[in-house]
Amino acid sequence: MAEPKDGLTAVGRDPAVFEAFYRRHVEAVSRFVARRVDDPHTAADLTAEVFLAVIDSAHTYRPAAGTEIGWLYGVARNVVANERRRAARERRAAGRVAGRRPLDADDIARLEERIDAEAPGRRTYEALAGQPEGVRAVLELVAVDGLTVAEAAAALGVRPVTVRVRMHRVRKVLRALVPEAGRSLEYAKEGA
Amino acid sequence: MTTFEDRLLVELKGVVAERAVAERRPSGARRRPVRLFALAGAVVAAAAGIAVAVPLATGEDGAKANAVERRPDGSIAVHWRDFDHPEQVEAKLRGFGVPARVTTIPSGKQCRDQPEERQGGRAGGVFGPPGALGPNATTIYPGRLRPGQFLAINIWTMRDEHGKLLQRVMQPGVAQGPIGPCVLVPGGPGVQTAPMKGQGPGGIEKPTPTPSP
Repeated sequence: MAEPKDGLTAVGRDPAVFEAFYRRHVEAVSRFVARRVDDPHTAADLTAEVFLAVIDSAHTYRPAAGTEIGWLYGVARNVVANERRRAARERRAAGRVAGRRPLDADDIARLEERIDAEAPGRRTYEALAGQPEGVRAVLELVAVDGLTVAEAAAALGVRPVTVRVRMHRVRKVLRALVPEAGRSLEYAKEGA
Repeated sequence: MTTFEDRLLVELKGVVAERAVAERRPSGARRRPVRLFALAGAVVAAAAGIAVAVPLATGEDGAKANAVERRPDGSIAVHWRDFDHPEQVEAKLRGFGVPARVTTIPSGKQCRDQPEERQGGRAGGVFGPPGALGPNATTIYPGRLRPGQFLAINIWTMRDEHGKLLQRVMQPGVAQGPIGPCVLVPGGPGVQTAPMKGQGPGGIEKPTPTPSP
């Protein structure tokens, strides 16, 4: 399905346009989330939160600033990061409050399968935890999520050259940490 | 039997449809574009975008209270429907752990002994850009408040002879120190309805129709 040429404002205003966007990207978002959490309920909640954030901020997307994918991954990263901060605060305060989305047994089984399938990505993601933030963000998107340099740049709001510099700096470190991720960096595509 | 993703799609399409309806709700006055006003007096720097005056939409459902919600990205949104009970908005913000003082101020008055206040670009990013969530919403990023700071949201109001709200100018700011009540004294800022016109004598002038840009 073709991407819209102008902005994504209609995604937040027109249910039919939103549906097309959702169907284009729901699997990618679900896998993005599955690479970062290992609990099917949290994965379901986060997927929903990402698309809620999309609805709220669709009007901010600027085609000149990067691709639809890059923007979407930027939104997804923010949602996951905020959820982690919120969850950490709640753990300190009380237990997690109920508010989870209802999942039946089939949903849970499918989400658990997806989480298992993304285990290599999750290992890489966790192995990056010790890296400085700017570097980790780049590696995460390129090595874990498989974005091109241009898409990662759009997701982070930086220039592609910044992405390349950070990748170059840590190539050796990454290869030592997680060999399969190092190889994916070798083949990282430039993108449009 | 539907999957989680199918059910989520249905729910989200409902959210989108609700937003589309809210955008199209007919208003007696213009809702867009947001008008920027210059405030006289030393209270506020005249940078664009700090204080926003928007004619209230008529036909609003008066039964609904001002809504304050936490958004998925962690920010807090205040959806203004009326300015009759600022203390309720204040209470809701405090319920979210955000220290706040929300005050409506009649034209020509101001608060005595203002704690040092910062607005606009000097408020440290605590407030999101005006109009981002619609003309009657304010976005707050409570994580950017420094220790000892509180939200000081001042709303100058102009009402007609029946007390009906005609115009309001919101000044979202951040202040330091213990929150004290606003003690009204004369001498508030003047508010123009057209930017850069001559300053009035410290009162809010009646809105004059101006063409949309």
